[in-house]
Amino acid sequence: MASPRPLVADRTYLRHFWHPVCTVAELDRAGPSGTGPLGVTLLDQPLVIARLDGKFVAMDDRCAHRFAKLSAGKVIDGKVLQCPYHGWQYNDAGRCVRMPACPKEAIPAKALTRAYACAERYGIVWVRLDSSWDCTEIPYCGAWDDPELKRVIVADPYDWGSSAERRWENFTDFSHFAYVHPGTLYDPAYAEPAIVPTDRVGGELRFYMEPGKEMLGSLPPDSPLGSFNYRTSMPFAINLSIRLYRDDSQFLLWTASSPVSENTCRNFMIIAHADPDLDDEVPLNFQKVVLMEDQPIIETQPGPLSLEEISLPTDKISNQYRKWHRELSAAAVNGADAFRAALLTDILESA
Amino acid sequence: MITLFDYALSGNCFKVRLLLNWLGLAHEVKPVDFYPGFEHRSDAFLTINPLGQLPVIEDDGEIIRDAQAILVHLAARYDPRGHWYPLDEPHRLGPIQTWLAFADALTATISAARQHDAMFFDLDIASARAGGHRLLRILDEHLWFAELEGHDWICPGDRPTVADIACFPYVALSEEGGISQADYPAVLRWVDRFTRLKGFQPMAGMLPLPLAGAAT
Amino acid sequence: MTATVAIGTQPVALERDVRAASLVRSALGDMPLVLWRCDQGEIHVWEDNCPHRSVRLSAGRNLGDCLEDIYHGWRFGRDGALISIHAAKGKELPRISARVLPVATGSGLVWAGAGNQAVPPTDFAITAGEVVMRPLPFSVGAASVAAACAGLEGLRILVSPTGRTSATAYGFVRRRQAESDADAARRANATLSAARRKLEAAA
Ligand code: FES
Ligand code: FES
Ligand SMILES: [Fe+2]
Repeated sequence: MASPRPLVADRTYLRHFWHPVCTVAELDRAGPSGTGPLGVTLLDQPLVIARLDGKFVAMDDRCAHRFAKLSAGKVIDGKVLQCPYHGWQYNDAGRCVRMPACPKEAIPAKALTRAYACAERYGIVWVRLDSSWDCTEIPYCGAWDDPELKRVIVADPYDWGSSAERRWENFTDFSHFAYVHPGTLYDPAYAEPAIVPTDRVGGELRFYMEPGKEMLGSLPPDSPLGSFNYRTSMPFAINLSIRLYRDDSQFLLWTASSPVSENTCRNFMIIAHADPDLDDEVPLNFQKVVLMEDQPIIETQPGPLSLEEISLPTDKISNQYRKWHRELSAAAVNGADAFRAALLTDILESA
Repeated sequence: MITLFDYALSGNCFKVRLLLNWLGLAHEVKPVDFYPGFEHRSDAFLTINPLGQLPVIEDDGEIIRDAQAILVHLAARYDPRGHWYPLDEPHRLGPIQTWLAFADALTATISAARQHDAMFFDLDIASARAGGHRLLRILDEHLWFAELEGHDWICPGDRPTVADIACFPYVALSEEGGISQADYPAVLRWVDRFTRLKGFQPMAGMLPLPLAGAAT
Repeated sequence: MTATVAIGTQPVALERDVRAASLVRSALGDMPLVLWRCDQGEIHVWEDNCPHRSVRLSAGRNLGDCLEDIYHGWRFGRDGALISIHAAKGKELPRISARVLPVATGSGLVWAGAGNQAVPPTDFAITAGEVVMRPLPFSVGAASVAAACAGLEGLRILVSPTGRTSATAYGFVRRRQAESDADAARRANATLSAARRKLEAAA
């Protein structure tokens, strides 16, 4: 079988973006005092995440001495990360500051493991592997912006055996609702979603949709049916603010996929809503059902997006998304300015 | 009144829900947050089932744990026709019991692989998957020869038994644990027949039904 | 007796295992396949991949006169051509087709070819006194399977590659005197399974 041509040949542009790698809650569970360490993988690269001196750090998960995995080590006194093998200790810059076997000796300059830009936001730890151009920001999430959103839930991440691009497309895809989520998100009687304008604003793809109100009667009460306002920070985050038809309140569904490899992604989810008394289980369980409906189908898709796949006008959102990825990948080859222009030049269709 | 301690995404709970519905038994569902809440390890739940496993039912004040035991209990007690567990045909009970034990092995392999992939349980994924394939080969061979002799179900007879219910969920969900079903055509045909049984409702994660109208 | 690797045209299923209103999965080398029998009784063999967004077509539905994809419901007719898209109702359909493979049936087997036509080998046809075996999947490559199965008594085997390190053995077994077809098939299955255990343990 001729192997399908991937949509983008060069994925290195993704290293210039901030990606989520774990939740703070996961890190809390990983070490006795919330310091980690925790091993994660981002773009095929094994990283160790830890909190040293209160600061979140991400470093190559490999000790400079004999390449042991630092994620199997421990954080000492909340300050340094100690290798499990011969105890070399690393500071928050990834530099070895102590070698217990020969404490008197000068520490060689090469005794370091590479550290990356790392920050916490939304209860999630973010990493940027290449900060040389410094032109990207942590994706937008509106969960704390609006006093109307009284309850915010940062869910545990879940892994899918599919690429982050495919996960993004699935999340924003309207024409699968009638087939994959009949009775959950959509009434199969309405299988013709509108084709809507898309805007590029500040590195986000934005669009707005209004599914039919008639479906209110046929969907379960937990189904968040309303007008859908998408602000999606490239490359893999989605802030979906829904104005619910049932009571005109806001329901926010936020997701960001982390590209673990070409074929796997780790997905982060935040749910925010206006009802302070609603048990967290209710919206979480509803989303779990939706996810379990999608997952087996999406996982039948082979990893990377392919140029051979046929796109129609009804695939507008996916087409625009693919187009932008291609532009970003191509621009990154030409350096920082070209990349910045491809990411941050606004293009408005709506207006 | 029957109370089911339930987790929506558990295949073992799903089998009990299936039989409860097929027998038309009124019951109350108590959700237990298995993942990510790990509520099955809470003191409250461990008093109900010290093994910390789901499902559990309480029937007339009696606690019954283990999915297969619950299926046998419900069928023996509430299915007077004896379709699901033919108490008055003793020669059929041994084979049924054999496949109930097989269902436990499915839990130990396929369900484990699925927990690894979907819920990040730390376990030896390669051996869970290899074990799953070994069992699917055995089941495929069994079903292929059963079909050759004109039988549609795991144990000979006109109708499915608790053996089919017990084996169904993790077989149907195997791809969620990275265990491909492509090599098991007889298993896929049996899954197809099972999902077309009247009143069957899939659980989340199973591919949806073929159109009811398309069944022959 | 004999065991060879199928080249060009290879068995992909037993004919009787492809039934109405359902879908069968198989593979031709590393190309995944979906097989379906339409309401006119014919068997169709396509690449198991939707041209829209690459979902497995075998996760969808056999509606008799067409196959419907599960993700966005695109429908493909018997000849593989796209015949309807629900989301684009009323608009003109682009010319799109699933990848259709040439098919042949014979000796109780469904044959598919990667080229322009499916031509089952003339020296591998069932003869009087032979019974079709249960196909057996192996998790080692076709050449090793053929080598391991060559000497099995009373069996004639054709090995279909289903990947670089996987293959399925199809074949016929000579019925012994007073043996039923089912018993012959069982015996052959046991012989072949034993050979598989040995081969896979060694691999
Ligand atoms: S390998 Fe890390 S200290 Fe030796
Ligand atoms: S992937 Fe097949 S219809 Fe969209
Ligand atoms: Fe979906």
